Amino acid sequence: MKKKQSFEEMLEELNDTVDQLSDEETPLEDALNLYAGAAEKIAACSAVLQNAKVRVAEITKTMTPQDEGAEDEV
Amino acid sequence: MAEIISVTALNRYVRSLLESDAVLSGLALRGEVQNFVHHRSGHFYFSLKDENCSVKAVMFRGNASKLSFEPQNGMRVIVRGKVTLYERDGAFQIYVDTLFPDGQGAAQLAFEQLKAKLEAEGLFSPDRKKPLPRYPQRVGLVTSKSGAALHDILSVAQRRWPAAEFLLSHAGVQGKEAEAELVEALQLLQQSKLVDVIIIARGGGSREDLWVFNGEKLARAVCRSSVPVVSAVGHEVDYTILDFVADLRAATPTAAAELVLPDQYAVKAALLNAAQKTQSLVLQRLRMCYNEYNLVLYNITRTGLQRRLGAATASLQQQKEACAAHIQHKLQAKELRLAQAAALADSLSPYRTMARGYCVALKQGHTVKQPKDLVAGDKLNLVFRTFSADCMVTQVTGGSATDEKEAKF
Repeated sequence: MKKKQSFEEMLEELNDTVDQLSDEETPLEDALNLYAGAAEKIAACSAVLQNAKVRVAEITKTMTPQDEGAEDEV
Repeated sequence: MAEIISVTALNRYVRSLLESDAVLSGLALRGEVQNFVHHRSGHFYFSLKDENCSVKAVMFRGNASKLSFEPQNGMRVIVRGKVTLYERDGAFQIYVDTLFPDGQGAAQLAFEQLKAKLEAEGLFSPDRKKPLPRYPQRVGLVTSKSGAALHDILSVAQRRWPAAEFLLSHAGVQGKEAEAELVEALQLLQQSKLVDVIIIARGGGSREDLWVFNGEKLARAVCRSSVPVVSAVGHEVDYTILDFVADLRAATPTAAAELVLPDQYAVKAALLNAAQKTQSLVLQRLRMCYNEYNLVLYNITRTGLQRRLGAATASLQQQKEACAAHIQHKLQAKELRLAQAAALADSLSPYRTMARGYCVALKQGHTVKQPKDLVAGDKLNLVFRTFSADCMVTQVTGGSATDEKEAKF
């Protein structure tokens, strides 16, 4: 399994995919693979926002960030 | 007796006197604004007065435009500048470099001085401003953990970007003594390398409450930060030193959260757009390929193979016919030769000769050709055209009939 991509990287890759799909030089087989990849990225990005809760941790002088877990402040 | 001089010379002389005076060339003056005019050229013209006296003042556009407020008549102010003479009118006046409301007194003066110093060092330069990450992985917060600012930021986050992650670095945010805490909290976040943007936040408060954000140590700590820093102090229109050195200034903590965090609805719309776009592009591609395939298929079946097959079939037929014709021709030639040979053979047939009355003499089935073939007493069989006769040889005469003689028979 590759390193988990950041949201920004995934969005960038999506934009790249759209560009490559727009390019008629891209072979059909590649285009289909790109499409499948894009669908995965879109699902992954949507999942990030789905049911997400803001998380807050506190950092203290001991230099060990202490996770206070999800804190719903709304 | 004094020398007679012109008015111009007098005014010029007085002006030079005033300008060479150390006190007049750089002074701070307290007074009340009167007769204020904001000229359309951008310059400010006004008078400064106290209980007894007044003096004319001018603030040129370059300095006037830097003010975050507009002076008003009756406002008590402190100005810094130099005094000189306006030669045309022979009136001395103060040329104002900076102007700020009186009341804050020394603190305000310190603020102005620090601001000027840091600005001169280039610390406010737009070139130094670091861009904010578009999708921060983790946001550092330097604020009080019991303050309203934290609550405001978290509220915005939940609404705007629920995937947000914060790392809180607590610091007191009030009073002069809080500066060291703020600097420490900021450094703690930077050294952790866990955040890609930092918000320094405090809810509203009086000018005095927010004074800590004008500290030089904090300003320099922010300038040293490798992580972009957003200032989010108070609800005031006034700027703090922190606002000037920060990579981005937000008017309030709420605004800071909005500037730092992406909008989930915009992102969702972008995702939907990307989904639709990729889908339509792929469908379009498939349609194109299908069309191309059809075209190729058409070319293969119609123009290409079929046509070649037809031509080949025709050529084959042609060759078959040519072949047959050739054979026929040869056959006819052979038949003709055969007929000629038959006719020749027929013409040479002994039966034809016999028909003319000749006969063949056979002795015991063999043709008699020479005299020595015969002796008297031999039985001969004479074969005629349509009949034969058995004979007996009585005598064999020596001379043989010549061909010519035979021909005479």
